[in-house]
Amino acid sequence: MKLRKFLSKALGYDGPPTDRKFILEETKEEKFLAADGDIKGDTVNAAHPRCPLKKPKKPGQNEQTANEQDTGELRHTLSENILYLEEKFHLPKNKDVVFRSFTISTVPEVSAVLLYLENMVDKQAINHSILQPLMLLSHLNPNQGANLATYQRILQSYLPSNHVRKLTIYDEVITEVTGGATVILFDGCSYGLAAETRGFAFRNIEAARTEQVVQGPQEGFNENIQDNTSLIRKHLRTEQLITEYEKVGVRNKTNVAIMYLEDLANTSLVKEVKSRVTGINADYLPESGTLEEFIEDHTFSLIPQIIKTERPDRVASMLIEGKVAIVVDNDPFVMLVPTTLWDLLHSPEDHYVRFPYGFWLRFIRLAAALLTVLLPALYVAVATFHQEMIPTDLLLSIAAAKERVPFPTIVEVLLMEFSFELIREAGVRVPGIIGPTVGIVGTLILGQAAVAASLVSPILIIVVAVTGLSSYAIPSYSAGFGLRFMRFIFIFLAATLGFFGISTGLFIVFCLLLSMNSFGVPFLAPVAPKTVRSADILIRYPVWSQEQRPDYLQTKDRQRQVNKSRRWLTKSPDQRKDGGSAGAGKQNRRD
Amino acid sequence: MQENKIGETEAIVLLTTIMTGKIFLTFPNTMVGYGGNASWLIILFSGCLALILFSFILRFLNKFGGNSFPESAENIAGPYLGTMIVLAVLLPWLIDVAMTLRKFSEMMVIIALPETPISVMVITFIVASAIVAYLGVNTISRAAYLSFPLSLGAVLFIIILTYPAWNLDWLFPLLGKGLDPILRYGILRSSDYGELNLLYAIPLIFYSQQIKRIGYKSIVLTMLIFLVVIITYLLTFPAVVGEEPYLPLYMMARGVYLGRFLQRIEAVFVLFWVINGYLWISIGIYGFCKILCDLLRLPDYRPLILPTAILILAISFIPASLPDVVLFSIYTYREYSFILIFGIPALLLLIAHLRGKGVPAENEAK
Repeated sequence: MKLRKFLSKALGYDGPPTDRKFILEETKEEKFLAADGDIKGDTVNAAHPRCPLKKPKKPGQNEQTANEQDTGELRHTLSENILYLEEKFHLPKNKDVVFRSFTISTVPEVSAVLLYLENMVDKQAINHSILQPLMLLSHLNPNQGANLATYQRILQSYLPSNHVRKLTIYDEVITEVTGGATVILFDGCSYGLAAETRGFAFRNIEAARTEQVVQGPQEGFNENIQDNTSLIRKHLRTEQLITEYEKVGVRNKTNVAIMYLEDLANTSLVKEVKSRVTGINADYLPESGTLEEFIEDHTFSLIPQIIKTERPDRVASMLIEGKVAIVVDNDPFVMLVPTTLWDLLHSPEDHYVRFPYGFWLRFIRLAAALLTVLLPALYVAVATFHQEMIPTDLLLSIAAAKERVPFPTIVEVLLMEFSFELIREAGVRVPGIIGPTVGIVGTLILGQAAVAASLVSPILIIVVAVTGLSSYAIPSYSAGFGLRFMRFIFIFLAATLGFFGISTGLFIVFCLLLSMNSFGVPFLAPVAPKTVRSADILIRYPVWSQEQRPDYLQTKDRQRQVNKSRRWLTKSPDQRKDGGSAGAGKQNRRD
Repeated sequence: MQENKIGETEAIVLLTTIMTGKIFLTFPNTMVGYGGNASWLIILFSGCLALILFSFILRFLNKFGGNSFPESAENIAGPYLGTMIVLAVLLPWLIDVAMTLRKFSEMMVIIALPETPISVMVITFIVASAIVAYLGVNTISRAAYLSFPLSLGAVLFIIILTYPAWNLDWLFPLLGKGLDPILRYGILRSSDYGELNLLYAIPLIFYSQQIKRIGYKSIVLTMLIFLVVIITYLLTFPAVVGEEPYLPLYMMARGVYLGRFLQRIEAVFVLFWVINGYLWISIGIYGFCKILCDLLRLPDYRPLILPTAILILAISFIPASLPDVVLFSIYTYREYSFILIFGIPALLLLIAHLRGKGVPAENEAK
């Protein structure tokens, strides 16, 4: 039966794919401009004139399950509430849930209870800013007793906590408590108050570990979502920066923050990001890699379509281009969408050093990407099929080096490339103390012993070493992974069909990349499809000439800076004196 | 589903890429065979003729551009005659794709992998092209757009590097084999611009102003590339010798000598030759499936790709050898296909005129 199912799936046809497609649409004016303006009285030639976009699916559909859960509201009597919550928190089995009963000094006394998780809270904060004011310092009107006005007053005057929320349903209480807040429930009141008392341990802000730069800011994100969003805010001090929090996961609600600039990011892009993030109906979302796999467009592609970074400065610079950032709690990596292939080859350092060096860095990295994928394959192709294509002298030296090696080239290459991958993987997994061992073993195996034993030719060692180095020159970790994996496919193609195989592979890979989208943006934009030229794709132009934001992001404000961003170059000395006001006028006109 | 929106530049580049794909194959030596030293005049003449003939396609699209080609053919000529007309486009298309597939594969065997069986090459070619055809015309046109500057650069590079071998005497006598072959083959070889039928056969979304620009620009660009290649070919090889080689451009590349270390520059160009072949065949497969899909009123062209690929594979093996392929495709298809390619829109326009059916697309849309 399974075979039959598989065959019908492989050979049969179930109709056109029904998956919805999101495309970041060009504006009407742009479409008009694409036709070079002059289209009066023209006809549109198409069997199917431009179809309007399908409306994105409403996230509500996926939220049904959440709604089905207990939406019970808090009861009026405290004991009922306590009973219900004790059951929910599995007391007395669960030892770190604390129900602390106390009374508020009113007449008659009102009993209340504090609810928090033992190691998730800052006890000082509870003592000083909740218990103390309520038990000792509150000068509530003794005759007021337990009524709504009392709690209103407590909320407004007696809780010196920076963040206090009113809770009306049990689910909210549970979410707040598990998130580290302290919830106060009162007798005779059908709502509770949650005060911010988070106090769990997390890593401090340290230098970014995976994306280091020589010059430029060094700090990286940590595992705390509040710290991460604040680091981004620290770079972008504008009221336009929006942070929206969403809870993702059915069993464990992970905090996910979606950040964007209100006056820049395309509204439909933000909507799409939110609909994908909130549309996940999964159990548990441990970190951003899992979320990436859920929301990306092409899961089976070797190249990632979402950029991940642990540098706040990079997030800020991309937000200001009009992208959307997704911050996941408990993870020091922030995702940015949409991503193009070129973003994966960029490093923040390109902009932190002067223009010529940035230009050179880009060039080196592009070469590294090509070498990673193609160098071993080219070696195999030349050594196996196209000996006549290399200059005679080089051919002779390669032949001399290979003379004593008993293996065919493909075996030799696979042996060494596989060993390299082993060393890489072992290097990551090995405990720090015995780390140097891997280096020594690797050098001995790869370097000397293999050549001395005539298992591989010395030229191959050079090829493998250059490939390995190149693959680590690619700034995006997952793109580096993808390219390293792709290298093996190209080696096989080269071993079977030589240059023709490599060309075939390149053609298919490029076509697949061309057909990909990342959040509605073609993956190779703005090169193909061609949109407005960008000053920061492969070549990084001087920063004063980068006047436009990337066109493919369809931002609300295209202009990054005025065309003459260096004011002193455009003015006579007289004007320069009152330069500030004139500049401001220009700025306003642009807006 | 119907993603047929490609940019104007992409369309120009796509058409130019597939029309100039011939220069990698036997185009230069065939032309020299026809006209001797004056073969560049044939190209000039056929190019100008194509510019004139293109007006049929343009008028047809202006009048009936709102529908897919099979729809308008059936609207104009009725279901039976209409279907026959569509088949008259489809069948030569199929054979042309199959023959080109065979030619590109044979070329790769000669250039790079002399001991590989031709079947392996053909199958690799068709599988890769089918995968790309599956991705759609958007992807193919973007790939053409990416590869065009590189291929063009590579070809110009070869051409410039053959400079030491140029001899101006070989362009004379200017009229070569005489005025008669220039005119005759000038007319016949307007078939070299036959890929323009993509414009009316596949429903691509353009404004009619754009179609005009796309058509004229791609014809002129193609003509210029042909001219440059042929003139340098004539400068490098005398006309009598130039008729001989099967892969003229490759021969030119082999003649390049840059010094003791860089002796074999032609290796670099294999990549562009292969990619050009792939673009040609994948757009061929895509186009065939798309027209068939429109003819049969299917919702999606993609299920047709696998059977089409098998069909093309089978047809491409009918000729016994490369000379057979060349004889067939050059001396039969390439000489008379212009009648079909430019004649069909003209015929449809004529029938529409006789039956009084010229409803412009804009009115229809209203």
